[in-house]
Amino acid sequence: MISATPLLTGLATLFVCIAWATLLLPVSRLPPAGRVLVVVIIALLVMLPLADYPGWYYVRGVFGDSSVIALFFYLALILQQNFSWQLFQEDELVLLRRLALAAAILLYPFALGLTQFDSYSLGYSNPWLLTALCIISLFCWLRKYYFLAVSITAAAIAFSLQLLESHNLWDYLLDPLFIVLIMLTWLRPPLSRVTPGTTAHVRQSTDL
Amino acid sequence: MTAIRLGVLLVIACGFTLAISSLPEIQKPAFVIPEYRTSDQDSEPLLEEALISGNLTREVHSSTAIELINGDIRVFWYGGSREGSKDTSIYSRVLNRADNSWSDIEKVMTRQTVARETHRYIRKLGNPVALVNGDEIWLFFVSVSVGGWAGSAINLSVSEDNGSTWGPVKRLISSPFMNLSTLVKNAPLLTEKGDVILPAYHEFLGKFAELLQLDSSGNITNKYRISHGREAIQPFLLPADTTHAIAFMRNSSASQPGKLWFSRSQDNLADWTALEALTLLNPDAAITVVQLNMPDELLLVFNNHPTEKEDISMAHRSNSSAAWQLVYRFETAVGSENIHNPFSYPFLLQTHDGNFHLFYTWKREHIKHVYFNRAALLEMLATAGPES
Repeated sequence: MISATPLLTGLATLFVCIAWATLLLPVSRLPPAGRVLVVVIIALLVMLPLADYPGWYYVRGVFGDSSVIALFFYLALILQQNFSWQLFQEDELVLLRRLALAAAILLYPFALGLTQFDSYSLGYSNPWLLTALCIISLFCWLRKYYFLAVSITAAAIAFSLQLLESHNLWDYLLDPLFIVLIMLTWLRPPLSRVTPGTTAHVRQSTDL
Repeated sequence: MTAIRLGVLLVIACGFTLAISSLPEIQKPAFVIPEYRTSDQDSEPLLEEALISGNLTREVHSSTAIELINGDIRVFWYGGSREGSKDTSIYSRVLNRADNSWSDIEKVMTRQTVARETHRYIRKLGNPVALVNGDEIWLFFVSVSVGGWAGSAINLSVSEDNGSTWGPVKRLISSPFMNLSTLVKNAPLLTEKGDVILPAYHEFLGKFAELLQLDSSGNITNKYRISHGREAIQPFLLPADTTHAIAFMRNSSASQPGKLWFSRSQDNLADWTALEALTLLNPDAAITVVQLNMPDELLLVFNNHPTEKEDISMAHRSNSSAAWQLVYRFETAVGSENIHNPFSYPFLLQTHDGNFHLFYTWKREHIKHVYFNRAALLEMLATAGPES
Protein backbone atom coordinates (compact mmCIF):
# COMPACT_ATOMS: atom_id res chain seq x y z
CA MET A 1 0.00 0.00 0.00
CA ILE A 2 1.24 3.47 -0.83
CA SER A 3 0.33 4.78 2.60
CA ALA A 4 2.41 2.12 4.30
CA THR A 5 5.40 2.31 2.01
CA PRO A 6 7.49 5.44 2.31
CA LEU A 7 9.41 4.74 -0.89
CA LEU A 8 6.28 4.45 -3.02
CA THR A 9 4.71 7.44 -1.32
CA GLY A 10 7.82 9.47 -1.98
CA LEU A 11 7.96 8.35 -5.59
CA ALA A 12 4.29 9.22 -6.12
CA THR A 13 4.93 12.71 -4.70
CA LEU A 14 8.04 13.01 -6.88
CA PHE A 15 5.97 12.11 -9.93
CA VAL A 16 3.44 14.86 -9.11
CA CYS A 17 6.27 17.38 -8.69
CA ILE A 18 7.84 16.38 -12.00
CA ALA A 19 4.45 16.61 -13.70
CA TRP A 20 3.76 20.11 -12.41
CA ALA A 21 7.28 21.29 -13.18
CA THR A 22 7.30 19.95 -16.70
CA LEU A 23 3.86 21.40 -17.33
CA LEU A 24 4.56 24.85 -15.91
CA LEU A 25 8.12 25.22 -17.14
CA PRO A 26 9.04 25.16 -20.85
CA VAL A 27 10.66 21.77 -20.44
CA SER A 28 9.35 20.46 -23.75
CA ARG A 29 11.50 23.03 -25.55
CA LEU A 30 14.67 21.54 -24.10
CA PRO A 31 16.69 18.85 -25.81
CA PRO A 32 16.39 15.35 -24.31
CA ALA A 33 19.51 15.83 -22.17
CA GLY A 34 18.08 19.07 -20.78
CA ARG A 35 14.83 17.37 -19.88
CA VAL A 36 16.68 14.61 -18.07
CA LEU A 37 18.67 17.24 -16.18
CA VAL A 38 15.45 18.98 -15.09
CA VAL A 39 14.03 15.70 -13.86
CA VAL A 40 17.23 14.91 -11.95
CA ILE A 41 17.23 18.35 -10.29
CA ILE A 42 13.60 17.97 -9.26
CA ALA A 43 14.27 14.45 -7.99
CA LEU A 44 17.16 15.70 -5.87
CA LEU A 45 15.06 18.56 -4.46
CA VAL A 46 12.16 16.26 -3.68
CA MET A 47 13.95 13.18 -2.39
CA LEU A 48 16.96 14.58 -0.52
CA PRO A 49 16.61 16.00 3.00
CA LEU A 50 15.85 19.71 3.22
CA ALA A 51 16.39 20.84 6.81
CA ASP A 52 15.05 17.89 8.82
CA TYR A 53 13.03 15.96 6.25
CA PRO A 54 13.04 14.93 2.57
CA GLY A 55 11.52 17.54 0.29
CA TRP A 56 8.49 15.41 -0.45
CA TYR A 57 7.51 15.52 3.24
CA TYR A 58 6.89 19.27 2.84
CA VAL A 59 4.96 18.84 -0.41
CA ARG A 60 2.84 16.10 1.10
CA GLY A 61 2.36 18.03 4.33
CA VAL A 62 0.80 20.91 2.44
CA PHE A 63 -1.04 19.22 -0.42
CA GLY A 64 -1.62 15.67 0.74
CA ASP A 65 -1.81 12.79 -1.72
CA SER A 66 -2.76 13.09 -5.35
CA SER A 67 -5.88 11.35 -6.60
CA VAL A 68 -5.56 8.34 -8.88
CA ILE A 69 -7.22 10.06 -11.83
CA ALA A 70 -4.85 13.01 -11.39
CA LEU A 71 -1.86 10.66 -11.53
CA PHE A 72 -3.17 9.18 -14.79
CA PHE A 73 -3.76 12.66 -16.18
CA TYR A 74 -0.28 13.87 -15.20
CA LEU A 75 1.25 10.80 -16.83
CA ALA A 76 -0.70 11.40 -20.03
CA LEU A 77 0.26 15.07 -20.18
CA ILE A 78 3.93 14.37 -19.56
CA LEU A 79 3.99 11.71 -22.25
CA GLN A 80 2.15 13.96 -24.66
CA GLN A 81 4.29 17.01 -24.07
CA ASN A 82 7.65 15.32 -23.96
CA PHE A 83 7.32 12.19 -26.04
CA SER A 84 4.38 13.02 -28.33
CA TRP A 85 2.46 10.02 -27.04
CA GLN A 86 -1.20 10.90 -27.23
CA LEU A 87 -3.17 8.93 -24.66
CA PHE A 88 -6.41 10.90 -24.89
CA GLN A 89 -8.39 12.70 -27.52
CA GLU A 90 -9.34 16.38 -27.50
CA ASP A 91 -13.03 15.52 -26.97
CA GLU A 92 -12.01 13.27 -24.11
CA LEU A 93 -10.18 16.13 -22.43
CA VAL A 94 -13.26 18.31 -22.79
CA LEU A 95 -15.37 15.63 -21.12
CA LEU A 96 -12.78 15.19 -18.38
CA ARG A 97 -12.84 18.94 -17.67
CA ARG A 98 -16.63 18.97 -17.47
CA LEU A 99 -16.76 15.93 -15.22
CA ALA A 100 -14.03 17.32 -12.96
CA LEU A 101 -15.73 20.69 -12.70
CA ALA A 102 -19.10 19.07 -11.95
CA ALA A 103 -17.53 16.82 -9.31
CA ALA A 104 -15.70 19.77 -7.72
CA ILE A 105 -18.90 21.80 -7.56
CA LEU A 106 -20.76 18.86 -6.03
CA LEU A 107 -17.98 18.06 -3.58
CA TYR A 108 -16.12 21.04 -2.19
CA PRO A 109 -18.80 23.59 -1.18
CA PHE A 110 -20.87 20.94 0.57
CA ALA A 111 -17.88 19.24 2.17
CA LEU A 112 -16.79 22.62 3.55
CA GLY A 113 -20.06 23.17 5.37
CA LEU A 114 -22.33 25.07 2.98
CA THR A 115 -25.41 23.03 3.96
CA GLN A 116 -26.37 20.14 6.22
CA PHE A 117 -25.80 17.82 3.25
CA ASP A 118 -22.25 16.46 3.20
CA SER A 119 -21.38 15.17 -0.25
CA TYR A 120 -18.02 13.86 1.00
CA SER A 121 -19.78 11.30 3.21
CA LEU A 122 -21.13 9.65 0.03
CA GLY A 123 -17.61 8.47 -0.68
CA TYR A 124 -17.31 6.03 2.21
CA SER A 125 -19.66 3.21 1.37
CA ASN A 126 -22.34 4.53 -0.92
CA PRO A 127 -22.95 2.11 -3.82
CA TRP A 128 -24.69 4.81 -5.87
CA LEU A 129 -21.51 6.82 -6.32
CA LEU A 130 -19.70 3.75 -7.62
CA THR A 131 -22.69 2.93 -9.84
CA ALA A 132 -22.60 6.42 -11.31
CA LEU A 133 -18.89 6.05 -11.99
CA CYS A 134 -19.50 2.68 -13.67
CA ILE A 135 -22.11 4.28 -15.95
CA ILE A 136 -19.73 7.13 -16.81
CA SER A 137 -16.98 4.63 -17.58
CA LEU A 138 -19.29 2.65 -19.87
CA PHE A 139 -20.33 5.87 -21.59
CA CYS A 140 -16.65 6.69 -22.13
CA TRP A 141 -16.10 3.19 -23.48
CA LEU A 142 -18.99 3.59 -25.94
CA ARG A 143 -17.47 6.88 -27.12
CA LYS A 144 -14.04 5.21 -27.35
CA TYR A 145 -12.63 7.47 -24.61
CA TYR A 146 -10.47 4.65 -23.32
CA PHE A 147 -8.07 6.77 -21.28
CA LEU A 148 -10.90 8.27 -19.27
CA ALA A 149 -12.68 4.93 -18.88
CA VAL A 150 -9.53 3.23 -17.62
CA SER A 151 -8.63 6.16 -15.32
CA ILE A 152 -12.02 6.14 -13.61
CA THR A 153 -11.99 2.35 -13.30
CA ALA A 154 -8.46 2.45 -11.90
CA ALA A 155 -9.63 4.93 -9.26
CA ALA A 156 -12.47 2.57 -8.29
CA ILE A 157 -10.08 -0.39 -8.09
CA ALA A 158 -7.54 1.60 -6.05
CA PHE A 159 -10.37 2.59 -3.68
CA SER A 160 -11.45 -1.01 -3.23
CA LEU A 161 -7.84 -1.98 -2.49
CA GLN A 162 -7.40 1.07 -0.20
CA LEU A 163 -4.15 2.05 -1.92
CA LEU A 164 -4.21 5.61 -0.54
CA GLU A 165 -4.42 6.67 3.11
CA SER A 166 -7.97 7.80 2.53
CA HIS A 167 -10.91 5.42 2.78
CA ASN A 168 -13.14 7.80 0.85
CA LEU A 169 -13.77 7.28 -2.86
CA TRP A 170 -13.76 11.01 -3.58
CA ASP A 171 -10.07 11.19 -2.69
CA TYR A 172 -9.31 8.67 -5.42
CA LEU A 173 -11.24 10.67 -8.00
CA LEU A 174 -10.08 14.23 -7.60
CA ASP A 175 -7.98 16.58 -5.52
CA PRO A 176 -7.73 20.37 -5.44
CA LEU A 177 -4.42 20.53 -7.35
CA PHE A 178 -5.89 18.40 -10.12
CA ILE A 179 -8.91 20.69 -10.34
CA VAL A 180 -6.62 23.71 -10.59
CA LEU A 181 -4.61 22.08 -13.35
CA ILE A 182 -7.60 20.91 -15.33
CA MET A 183 -9.14 24.36 -15.09
CA LEU A 184 -5.86 25.91 -16.23
CA THR A 185 -5.96 23.80 -19.37
CA TRP A 186 -9.39 25.27 -20.00
CA LEU A 187 -8.97 28.88 -19.01
CA ARG A 188 -5.39 29.77 -19.79
CA PRO A 189 -4.65 30.66 -23.41
CA PRO A 190 -2.27 28.26 -25.08
CA LEU A 191 1.41 29.16 -25.27
CA SER A 192 3.37 28.90 -28.43
CA ARG A 193 5.45 25.93 -27.35
CA VAL A 194 5.87 23.39 -30.08
CA THR A 195 6.38 19.75 -29.34
CA PRO A 196 7.62 17.85 -32.35
CA GLY A 197 5.09 15.33 -33.52
CA THR A 198 2.22 16.79 -31.47
CA THR A 199 -0.73 17.96 -33.51
CA ALA A 200 -1.67 21.63 -33.17
CA HIS A 201 -5.17 20.64 -32.15
CA VAL A 202 -4.04 18.71 -29.10
CA ARG A 203 -1.27 21.14 -28.19
CA GLN A 204 -3.71 24.03 -27.99
CA SER A 205 -5.68 22.37 -25.25
CA THR A 206 -2.90 20.94 -23.11
CA ASP A 207 0.04 23.34 -23.17
CA LEU A 208 0.15 25.64 -20.23
CA MET B 1 -14.54 -5.36 -31.80
CA THR B 2 -10.86 -4.64 -31.41
CA ALA B 3 -8.77 -6.22 -28.72
CA ILE B 4 -8.26 -2.85 -27.02
CA ARG B 5 -11.99 -2.17 -26.97
CA LEU B 6 -12.72 -5.58 -25.54
CA GLY B 7 -9.90 -5.25 -23.02
CA VAL B 8 -11.13 -1.90 -21.74
CA LEU B 9 -14.65 -3.28 -21.35
CA LEU B 10 -13.25 -6.21 -19.40
CA VAL B 11 -11.29 -3.85 -17.14
CA ILE B 12 -14.42 -1.80 -16.46
CA ALA B 13 -16.51 -4.88 -15.71
CA CYS B 14 -13.95 -6.49 -13.42
CA GLY B 15 -12.95 -3.23 -11.76
CA PHE B 16 -16.41 -2.13 -10.75
CA THR B 17 -17.46 -5.63 -9.75
CA LEU B 18 -14.49 -5.68 -7.39
CA ALA B 19 -15.16 -2.16 -6.13
CA ILE B 20 -18.88 -2.62 -5.46
CA SER B 21 -18.47 -6.07 -3.93
CA SER B 22 -15.79 -4.82 -1.53
CA LEU B 23 -17.80 -1.87 -0.23
CA PRO B 24 -17.90 -2.07 3.56
CA GLU B 25 -21.27 -2.67 5.14
CA ILE B 26 -22.05 0.29 7.36
CA GLN B 27 -24.25 -0.39 10.35
CA LYS B 28 -26.07 2.25 12.29
CA PRO B 29 -24.14 2.73 15.52
CA ALA B 30 -25.57 1.46 18.79
CA PHE B 31 -23.81 3.00 21.75
CA VAL B 32 -22.30 1.26 24.71
CA ILE B 33 -23.89 2.90 27.73
CA PRO B 34 -21.37 3.22 30.58
CA GLU B 35 -22.51 2.49 34.10
CA TYR B 36 -21.48 4.49 37.14
CA ARG B 37 -22.04 3.93 40.82
CA THR B 38 -24.49 6.58 41.91
CA SER B 39 -24.52 6.20 45.68
CA ASP B 40 -21.66 6.87 48.04
CA GLN B 41 -23.36 7.61 51.30
CA ASP B 42 -20.50 6.54 53.54
CA SER B 43 -17.94 9.10 52.43
CA GLU B 44 -17.51 12.66 53.57
CA PRO B 45 -17.63 15.45 50.97
CA LEU B 46 -14.17 15.82 49.51
CA LEU B 47 -12.80 18.36 47.05
CA GLU B 48 -9.07 18.50 46.31
CA GLU B 49 -7.18 20.51 43.74
CA ALA B 50 -3.63 20.60 42.41
CA LEU B 51 -1.56 21.88 39.49
CA ILE B 52 -0.34 18.75 37.79
CA SER B 53 1.48 19.66 34.59
CA GLY B 54 4.84 20.54 36.16
CA ASN B 55 7.19 23.07 34.65
CA LEU B 56 8.49 21.24 31.60
CA THR B 57 6.94 23.76 29.23
CA ARG B 58 6.09 27.44 29.49
CA GLU B 59 2.52 27.00 28.27
CA VAL B 60 0.11 24.07 28.43
CA HIS B 61 -3.39 23.60 27.08
CA SER B 62 -6.24 21.26 26.20
CA SER B 63 -6.17 18.50 28.79
CA THR B 64 -8.16 15.29 28.54
CA ALA B 65 -8.33 12.21 30.74
CA ILE B 66 -9.37 8.58 30.80
CA GLU B 67 -9.99 6.04 33.52
CA LEU B 68 -7.73 3.05 32.96
CA ILE B 69 -8.96 -0.48 33.48
CA ASN B 70 -7.30 -0.64 36.92
CA GLY B 71 -9.05 2.56 37.98
CA ASP B 72 -6.04 4.87 37.62
CA ILE B 73 -6.48 8.14 35.76
CA ARG B 74 -4.28 8.98 32.76
CA VAL B 75 -4.33 12.61 31.73
CA PHE B 76 -2.98 14.08 28.49
CA TRP B 77 -2.30 17.66 27.45
CA TYR B 78 -0.09 19.50 25.02
CA GLY B 79 2.58 22.00 25.90
CA GLY B 80 5.35 24.10 24.43
CA SER B 81 6.99 27.49 24.69
CA ARG B 82 3.61 28.87 23.55
CA GLU B 83 0.37 27.45 22.20
CA GLY B 84 1.28 27.39 18.52
CA SER B 85 5.03 27.01 18.76
CA LYS B 86 7.08 24.39 16.95
CA ASP B 87 8.13 22.73 20.18
CA THR B 88 4.63 21.60 21.21
CA SER B 89 4.38 17.96 22.24
CA ILE B 90 1.74 15.77 23.85
CA TYR B 91 2.42 15.03 27.52
CA SER B 92 0.85 12.58 29.91
CA ARG B 93 0.96 11.34 33.47
CA VAL B 94 -1.00 8.88 35.58
CA LEU B 95 -2.78 9.35 38.89
CA ASN B 96 -2.38 6.18 40.94
CA ARG B 97 -5.69 5.85 42.73
CA ALA B 98 -4.34 3.44 45.31
CA ASP B 99 -1.98 5.94 46.92
CA ASN B 100 -3.22 9.13 45.22
CA SER B 101 0.22 9.81 43.73
CA TRP B 102 1.13 11.13 40.30
CA SER B 103 3.64 9.42 38.02
CA ASP B 104 6.42 11.31 36.29
CA ILE B 105 5.39 13.38 33.29
CA GLU B 106 6.01 11.59 29.99
CA LYS B 107 6.35 13.14 26.56
CA VAL B 108 4.20 10.70 24.57
CA MET B 109 4.19 12.35 21.15
CA THR B 110 6.43 14.86 19.41
CA ARG B 111 6.08 16.51 16.03
CA GLN B 112 9.23 14.72 14.87
CA THR B 113 7.64 11.35 15.68
CA VAL B 114 4.46 12.27 13.85
CA ALA B 115 6.39 13.59 10.83
CA ARG B 116 8.49 10.44 10.64
CA GLU B 117 5.51 8.11 10.87
CA THR B 118 3.07 9.99 8.65
CA HIS B 119 5.74 11.02 6.12
CA ARG B 120 4.82 14.67 6.26
CA TYR B 121 6.32 17.85 7.60
CA ILE B 122 4.59 18.62 10.90
CA ARG B 123 4.77 22.08 12.43
CA LYS B 124 2.88 21.62 15.70
CA LEU B 125 0.67 19.28 17.69
CA GLY B 126 -2.43 19.92 19.77
CA ASN B 127 -5.75 18.82 21.30
CA PRO B 128 -5.23 15.26 22.52
CA VAL B 129 -8.35 13.12 22.97
CA ALA B 130 -8.18 9.64 24.46
CA LEU B 131 -10.37 6.56 24.62
CA VAL B 132 -10.12 3.27 26.46
CA ASN B 133 -11.06 0.72 23.79
CA GLY B 134 -10.90 -2.76 25.28
CA ASP B 135 -7.30 -3.41 26.26
CA GLU B 136 -6.05 -0.49 24.19
CA ILE B 137 -5.81 3.26 24.62
CA TRP B 138 -6.57 5.20 21.46
CA LEU B 139 -4.99 8.64 21.40
CA PHE B 140 -6.30 11.10 18.85
CA PHE B 141 -4.61 14.46 18.42
CA VAL B 142 -4.35 17.16 15.78
CA SER B 143 -1.27 18.19 13.84
CA VAL B 144 -0.63 21.17 11.62
CA SER B 145 1.74 21.27 8.67
CA VAL B 146 1.10 24.80 7.50
CA GLY B 147 -0.83 27.78 8.89
CA GLY B 148 -2.83 27.95 12.10
CA TRP B 149 -5.12 25.52 13.85
CA ALA B 150 -7.60 25.76 10.98
CA GLY B 151 -5.08 23.72 8.98
CA SER B 152 -5.24 20.80 11.40
CA ALA B 153 -5.65 17.14 10.58
CA ILE B 154 -6.40 14.28 12.96
CA ASN B 155 -3.92 11.56 13.88
CA LEU B 156 -4.37 8.34 15.81
CA SER B 157 -1.92 6.27 17.80
CA VAL B 158 -2.77 3.20 19.85
CA SER B 159 -1.15 1.92 23.01
CA GLU B 160 -1.50 -1.69 24.09
CA ASP B 161 0.24 -1.25 27.44
CA ASN B 162 -1.84 1.42 29.18
CA GLY B 163 0.11 4.25 27.57
CA SER B 164 3.68 3.20 28.34
CA THR B 165 4.48 2.88 24.63
CA TRP B 166 2.63 3.98 21.52
CA GLY B 167 2.12 2.36 18.14
CA PRO B 168 2.55 3.91 14.71
CA VAL B 169 0.82 7.22 14.07
CA LYS B 170 -1.99 6.95 11.55
CA ARG B 171 -3.25 9.97 9.64
CA LEU B 172 -7.05 10.18 9.34
CA ILE B 173 -8.26 11.63 6.03
CA SER B 174 -11.51 13.39 6.79
CA SER B 175 -11.75 16.26 4.32
CA PRO B 176 -11.37 16.33 0.52
CA PHE B 177 -9.75 19.76 0.51
CA MET B 178 -6.10 18.74 1.11
CA ASN B 179 -7.39 17.15 4.32
CA LEU B 180 -7.39 20.62 5.86
CA SER B 181 -9.14 21.55 9.04
CA THR B 182 -10.61 18.67 10.93
CA LEU B 183 -9.99 18.95 14.66
CA VAL B 184 -10.88 17.02 17.78
CA LYS B 185 -11.46 18.24 21.31
CA ASN B 186 -13.93 15.98 23.10
CA ALA B 187 -14.11 12.32 23.99
CA PRO B 188 -15.37 9.64 21.58
CA LEU B 189 -18.07 7.06 22.27
CA LEU B 190 -17.88 3.32 21.67
CA THR B 191 -20.51 1.30 19.86
CA GLU B 192 -21.59 -2.25 20.61
CA LYS B 193 -19.90 -3.44 17.39
CA GLY B 194 -16.58 -1.94 18.46
CA ASP B 195 -16.76 1.14 16.27
CA VAL B 196 -15.68 4.51 17.61
CA ILE B 197 -17.78 7.66 17.17
CA LEU B 198 -15.35 10.55 17.28
CA PRO B 199 -16.70 14.11 17.67
CA ALA B 200 -14.83 16.43 15.32
CA TYR B 201 -15.19 19.89 13.83
CA HIS B 202 -14.04 22.05 10.94
CA GLU B 203 -12.69 25.57 11.06
CA PHE B 204 -11.68 26.30 7.45
CA LEU B 205 -14.33 28.41 5.68
CA GLY B 206 -17.19 26.57 7.36
CA LYS B 207 -17.21 26.16 11.13
CA PHE B 208 -19.30 23.14 11.91
CA ALA B 209 -19.57 20.02 14.02
CA GLU B 210 -19.58 16.45 12.82
CA LEU B 211 -18.99 12.87 13.92
CA LEU B 212 -16.52 10.43 12.41
CA GLN B 213 -17.30 6.72 12.60
CA LEU B 214 -14.18 4.55 12.78
CA ASP B 215 -13.99 0.78 12.58
CA SER B 216 -11.95 -1.33 14.97
CA SER B 217 -8.86 -0.75 12.81
CA GLY B 218 -9.17 3.01 13.12
CA ASN B 219 -10.35 3.57 9.55
CA ILE B 220 -13.04 6.14 8.92
CA THR B 221 -16.12 4.36 7.57
CA ASN B 222 -18.70 7.13 7.74
CA LYS B 223 -19.33 10.64 8.94
CA TYR B 224 -22.36 12.50 10.19
CA ARG B 225 -22.89 16.23 10.11
CA ILE B 226 -24.38 17.81 13.22
CA SER B 227 -24.36 21.45 12.11
CA HIS B 228 -23.33 23.50 9.11
CA GLY B 229 -22.41 27.08 8.30
CA ARG B 230 -20.25 28.90 10.81
CA GLU B 231 -22.11 28.56 14.11
CA ALA B 232 -20.92 25.65 16.22
CA ILE B 233 -17.72 23.67 16.84
CA GLN B 234 -16.28 21.22 19.37
CA PRO B 235 -19.28 18.94 19.78
CA PHE B 236 -19.55 17.12 23.09
CA LEU B 237 -21.40 13.88 22.41
CA LEU B 238 -23.47 11.90 24.91
CA PRO B 239 -25.74 8.92 24.31
CA ALA B 240 -29.45 9.66 24.73
CA ASP B 241 -30.20 5.96 24.37
CA THR B 242 -28.45 3.16 22.53
CA THR B 243 -29.21 4.58 19.08
CA HIS B 244 -29.58 8.32 19.62
CA ALA B 245 -27.31 11.02 20.97
CA ILE B 246 -27.27 14.58 22.21
CA ALA B 247 -24.54 17.09 21.47
CA PHE B 248 -23.47 20.30 23.16
CA MET B 249 -21.39 22.65 21.09
CA ARG B 250 -19.16 25.65 21.52
CA ASN B 251 -20.40 28.77 19.81
CA SER B 252 -18.37 30.03 16.87
CA SER B 253 -20.84 32.54 15.49
CA ALA B 254 -19.60 36.12 15.59
CA SER B 255 -23.14 37.39 15.07
CA GLN B 256 -24.58 35.51 18.06
CA PRO B 257 -22.05 35.91 20.89
CA GLY B 258 -22.59 34.32 24.27
CA LYS B 259 -24.46 31.23 23.04
CA LEU B 260 -23.98 27.61 23.95
CA TRP B 261 -25.53 25.23 21.43
CA PHE B 262 -27.43 21.99 21.77
CA SER B 263 -28.77 19.46 19.26
CA ARG B 264 -30.39 16.02 19.43
CA SER B 265 -30.06 13.25 16.84
CA GLN B 266 -33.25 12.01 15.26
CA ASP B 267 -32.50 9.26 12.74
CA ASN B 268 -29.78 7.41 14.60
CA LEU B 269 -26.90 9.85 13.93
CA ALA B 270 -27.85 10.77 10.38
CA ASP B 271 -30.21 13.62 11.18
CA TRP B 272 -29.91 16.29 13.87
CA THR B 273 -32.30 18.91 15.16
CA ALA B 274 -31.56 22.55 14.39
CA LEU B 275 -29.19 24.18 16.86
CA GLU B 276 -30.90 25.60 19.92
CA ALA B 277 -29.25 27.85 22.47
CA LEU B 278 -29.12 26.85 26.12
CA THR B 279 -30.05 29.38 28.77
CA LEU B 280 -26.43 29.31 29.91
CA LEU B 281 -23.91 31.87 28.69
CA ASN B 282 -20.65 30.99 27.04
CA PRO B 283 -17.86 33.10 25.50
CA ASP B 284 -17.02 30.96 22.43
CA ALA B 285 -15.21 28.56 24.76
CA ALA B 286 -14.78 24.83 25.21
CA ILE B 287 -17.24 22.99 27.49
CA THR B 288 -17.43 19.56 29.07
CA VAL B 289 -20.43 17.50 30.11
CA VAL B 290 -21.08 14.28 32.01
CA GLN B 291 -24.27 12.29 32.36
CA LEU B 292 -25.36 11.62 35.94
CA ASN B 293 -28.49 9.76 34.90
CA MET B 294 -29.69 8.81 31.43
CA PRO B 295 -30.60 10.66 29.41
CA ASP B 296 -30.76 14.23 30.59
CA GLU B 297 -29.44 14.63 34.14
CA LEU B 298 -26.22 16.37 33.31
CA LEU B 299 -23.29 18.25 34.78
CA LEU B 300 -21.81 20.87 32.49
CA VAL B 301 -18.57 22.72 33.22
CA PHE B 302 -18.03 25.94 31.30
CA ASN B 303 -16.99 29.59 31.37
CA ASN B 304 -20.07 31.32 32.70
CA HIS B 305 -19.73 34.64 30.91
CA PRO B 306 -20.81 35.89 27.46
CA THR B 307 -17.40 37.19 26.44
CA GLU B 308 -14.62 36.33 28.93
CA LYS B 309 -13.02 33.14 30.20
CA GLU B 310 -12.52 34.39 33.73
CA ASP B 311 -14.23 31.65 35.65
CA ILE B 312 -14.80 27.91 35.60
CA SER B 313 -18.34 27.07 36.68
CA MET B 314 -20.48 23.97 36.88
CA ALA B 315 -24.20 23.74 36.09
CA HIS B 316 -26.63 20.89 36.71
CA ARG B 317 -29.76 19.86 34.87
CA SER B 318 -32.14 17.22 36.17
CA ASN B 319 -34.08 14.73 34.11
CA SER B 320 -37.34 16.44 35.03
CA SER B 321 -36.40 19.96 34.06
CA ALA B 322 -34.94 21.72 31.04
CA ALA B 323 -33.57 24.47 33.28
CA TRP B 324 -29.98 24.65 34.46
CA GLN B 325 -28.86 25.33 38.00
CA LEU B 326 -25.43 26.77 38.74
CA VAL B 327 -23.98 24.52 41.41
CA TYR B 328 -20.35 25.49 41.85
CA ARG B 329 -17.67 27.92 40.76
CA PHE B 330 -14.17 26.45 40.66
CA GLU B 331 -12.35 29.62 39.59
CA THR B 332 -12.88 33.33 39.59
CA ALA B 333 -10.25 35.64 38.12
CA VAL B 334 -8.45 37.90 40.54
CA GLY B 335 -8.77 41.40 39.19
CA SER B 336 -5.19 42.42 39.83
CA GLU B 337 -3.78 39.67 37.66
CA ASN B 338 -3.45 40.85 34.13
CA ILE B 339 -4.01 37.54 32.35
CA HIS B 340 -6.52 37.50 29.55
CA ASN B 341 -8.86 34.50 29.59
CA PRO B 342 -7.01 32.69 32.38
CA PHE B 343 -9.25 29.58 32.63
CA SER B 344 -10.32 27.45 29.69
CA TYR B 345 -10.75 24.03 28.11
CA PRO B 346 -12.34 22.12 31.00
CA PHE B 347 -12.56 18.34 30.81
CA LEU B 348 -14.72 16.52 33.36
CA LEU B 349 -14.26 12.78 33.85
CA GLN B 350 -16.77 10.69 35.79
CA THR B 351 -15.09 7.54 37.07
CA HIS B 352 -16.89 4.26 37.53
CA ASP B 353 -16.91 4.68 41.30
CA GLY B 354 -19.19 7.67 40.77
CA ASN B 355 -16.63 10.40 41.55
CA PHE B 356 -15.28 13.21 39.38
CA HIS B 357 -11.98 14.53 38.07
CA LEU B 358 -11.98 17.95 36.46
CA PHE B 359 -9.01 19.19 34.43
CA TYR B 360 -8.63 22.62 32.85
CA THR B 361 -6.06 25.10 31.59
CA TRP B 362 -5.01 27.36 34.45
CA LYS B 363 -3.56 30.70 33.35
CA ARG B 364 -2.04 28.95 30.35
CA GLU B 365 0.83 27.83 32.56
CA HIS B 366 -0.62 24.74 34.21
CA ILE B 367 -3.21 22.04 33.98
CA LYS B 368 -5.28 22.11 37.12
CA HIS B 369 -6.83 18.96 38.52
CA VAL B 370 -9.86 19.15 40.78
CA TYR B 371 -11.14 15.97 42.37
CA PHE B 372 -14.56 15.93 44.01
CA ASN B 373 -16.50 12.94 45.19
CA ARG B 374 -20.19 12.25 44.89
CA ALA B 375 -20.82 13.41 48.44
CA ALA B 376 -19.28 16.76 47.52
CA LEU B 377 -21.49 16.95 44.46
CA LEU B 378 -24.59 16.23 46.52
CA GLU B 379 -23.56 19.01 48.89
CA MET B 380 -23.07 21.40 45.95
CA LEU B 381 -26.51 20.50 44.61
CA ALA B 382 -28.12 21.01 48.01
CA THR B 383 -26.65 24.48 48.42
CA ALA B 384 -26.97 25.61 44.78
CA GLY B 385 -28.78 28.70 43.60
CA PRO B 386 -32.06 28.86 41.71
CA GLU B 387 -32.58 27.31 38.28
CA SER B 388 -32.20 29.51 35.24
